[in-house]
Amino acid sequence: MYIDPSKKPYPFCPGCSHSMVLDAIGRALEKIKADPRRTVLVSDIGCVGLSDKYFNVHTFHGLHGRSFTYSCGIKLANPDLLVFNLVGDGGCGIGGNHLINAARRNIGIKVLCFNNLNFGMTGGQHSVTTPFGGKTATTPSGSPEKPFDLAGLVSAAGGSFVARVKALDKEALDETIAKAFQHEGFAFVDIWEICTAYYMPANDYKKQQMDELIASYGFKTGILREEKGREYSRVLNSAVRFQTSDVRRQTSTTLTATKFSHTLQKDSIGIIVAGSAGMKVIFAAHTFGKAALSCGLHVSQKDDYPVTVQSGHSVSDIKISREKINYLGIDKPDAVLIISQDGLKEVTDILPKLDNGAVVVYDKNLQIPKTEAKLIPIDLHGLDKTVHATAMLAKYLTLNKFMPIEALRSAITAISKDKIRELNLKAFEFGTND
Amino acid sequence: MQNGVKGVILKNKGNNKGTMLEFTTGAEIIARAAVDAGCDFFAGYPITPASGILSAMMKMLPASGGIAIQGEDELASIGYCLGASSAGRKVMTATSGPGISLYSENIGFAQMAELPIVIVNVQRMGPATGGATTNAEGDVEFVRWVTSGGYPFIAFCPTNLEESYRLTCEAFNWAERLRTPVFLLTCKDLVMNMDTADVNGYKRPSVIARSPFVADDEAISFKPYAYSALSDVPPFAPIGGDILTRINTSVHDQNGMLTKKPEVCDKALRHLNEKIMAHAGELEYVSTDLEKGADTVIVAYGAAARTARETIAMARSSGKKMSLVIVHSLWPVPEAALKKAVGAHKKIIVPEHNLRQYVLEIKRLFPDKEIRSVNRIDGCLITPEGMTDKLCT
Repeated sequence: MYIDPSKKPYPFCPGCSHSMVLDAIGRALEKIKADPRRTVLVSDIGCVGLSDKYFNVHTFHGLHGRSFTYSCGIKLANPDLLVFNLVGDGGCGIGGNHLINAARRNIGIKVLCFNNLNFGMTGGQHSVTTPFGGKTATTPSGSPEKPFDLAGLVSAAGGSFVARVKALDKEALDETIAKAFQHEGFAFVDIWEICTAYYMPANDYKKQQMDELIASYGFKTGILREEKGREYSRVLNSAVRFQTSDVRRQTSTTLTATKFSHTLQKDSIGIIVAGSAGMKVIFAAHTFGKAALSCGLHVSQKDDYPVTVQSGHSVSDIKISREKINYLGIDKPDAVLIISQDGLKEVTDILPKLDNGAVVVYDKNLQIPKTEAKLIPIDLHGLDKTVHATAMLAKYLTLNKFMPIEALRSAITAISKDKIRELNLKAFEFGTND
Repeated sequence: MQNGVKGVILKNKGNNKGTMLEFTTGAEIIARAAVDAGCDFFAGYPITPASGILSAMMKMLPASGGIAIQGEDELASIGYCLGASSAGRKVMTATSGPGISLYSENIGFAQMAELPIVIVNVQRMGPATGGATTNAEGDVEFVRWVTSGGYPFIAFCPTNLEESYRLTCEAFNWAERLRTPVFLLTCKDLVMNMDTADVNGYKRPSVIARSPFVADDEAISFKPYAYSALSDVPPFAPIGGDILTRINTSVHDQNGMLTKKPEVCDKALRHLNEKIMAHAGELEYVSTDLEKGADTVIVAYGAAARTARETIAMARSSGKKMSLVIVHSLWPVPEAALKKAVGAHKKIIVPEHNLRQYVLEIKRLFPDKEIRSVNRIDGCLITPEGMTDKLCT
């Protein structure tokens, strides 16, 4: 018994199609001999959301329009379950994005839409399926809007099983729901209903008018689309690999053992590397940071760039400290390395604030505004622009030997890609010999 | 149990020679902690500054036997998580302020339906789109009052990589133990920046699973929302398991059936409050650095607390006495630990990257003390000097 007879009658209005559809679902579950322990009813909000308690299967009652997401989550978590949604035309409107995406992905949930052309629970307001000219509480002079064809919408989104059926057509309803339940992928059944409380009396909408409306739209009933294709929860679960290897290997993180000793005198130093997109500023700063880590130093790196990452500036702030770094900001940088006009623009406000303890290393072609910092122009001519930042950092290290130059060479040597490593080593030699 | 403060003390050790250091982001560490805590389902929608967590989970989860998916929007992402949680998965999602706004109704659902979920909020400048890549810590009250009804939430707040690891694990444990949503409240600078961690500093608490329903010998008398005392947590049976269960977002009786009966509603809602507040004492996560004879104590959290450590070091090196209390469990307010730690200090400084939020709780707890609020909302961090000088108001 999928529907508990002791709980009946249903709470719906006399003549409401919801009662007929619930009975049909019960018969369909019986026909396919569904295991109730592996069957999940997910109900949306609306009169149909009152259905849970009549069913002897798992039930899940959540938010309006989001029932699709819960059923998808359940199906993804356990692909062996039969998961079906009871949702109204209202829920398909507010949750339309979830409906079309579940269809597109072919997640094997079964959506049964109780389409009664208006919002019953809240007092007969218009929905996305209210016909043009239909009278509702919010379209008192007749709806000026064109309705959605829900079955057509889901079809267009790639739904692999799509059907349209009239609630009053008992045989077709039973058969269609059973077929939807047996379909492996996503299934949508657009069930045309009559709301006896609101839409029927307001529009004289009965069986004959429903037939006429469907005919006027040129809609067909029955199974409109039935395609095979891999069900998504199976696809995603088959991508899962239980690996004994450490998941950390999947990540981009770096473990660094202390190999060198540093001679950093100050508590911390702050370096700003200012360049342009495409100049591998972040990568160079990162490699420099790894070198400092290999000396037992603590490093933080904050990058700044426009959201259109391949344009404009690219600036990395590197803070290097003997102890754990608490304050992440660099208020008075010890060094500003400027490798492009974009970078210069970003640090222009900082330069006048520097005192003579700071150094500014810059591409000799740039016009540097007045600053008390020590100015060190570099001729980067002949070096690939993707390693200008590395050359600058190497140069800075020869000026402030807070860590061995070998530490930086070692970090660069550890770069995995041959071509990038060679270019960076060349820049390293350039910076340290210049 | 430093300085006699009850609750959980998080320690931060300095660098010892020969230790293994790691250069990584908060995003990477939160994802790793989630996997280590047993997370096996993640859904999220791209949003700066939280996207790094989504990407890291997409890499790590399938490799460790879990499912990670990018939802079609934020509503779907948390919805997928709640569906999966009802089926027994350990779930997490990550977003920023705009995403939390979209999660709001579903967070209330998780609370009402008692579905465990860890929600990471990587704060950025608000309101609304605000500043996507700009740091802020303005969502403190937001996560406390994020949904209708006003029932309590748990929120943890790290200051560095090691604490991000530890508190992510703790968030899972409390979510599962109390069947409730738990926030990890962090911020752009702690998640997107590269930072250094001492590998030995990652402390994983024992993993706690939600308590399963076990059928007694007589008969299966399962109620999906069973409790005797209001503070009890209902034993869990998963959707799709051998015992039929019901999940319900509407006010329900212990059978999961919708109800309007005043006496049933009253109990059901008090239960949501009691099951959290009964554990308020255990949920007090603070760390303290108290100095004898100090008049002033900084009470801080998040990125501001991290900076405050430097303020304290600077004050002491110039001979000034000053104490520091860092709040790692913002909600519920760790009242006993705070009262004990603040003790006889006369002045309290509360630095925040927002316009006075948590200081209201501190004023409530310490009505007779001199309390100074230090605030900065321009996207930059309060400086170590700024905690104590003219920035004070």
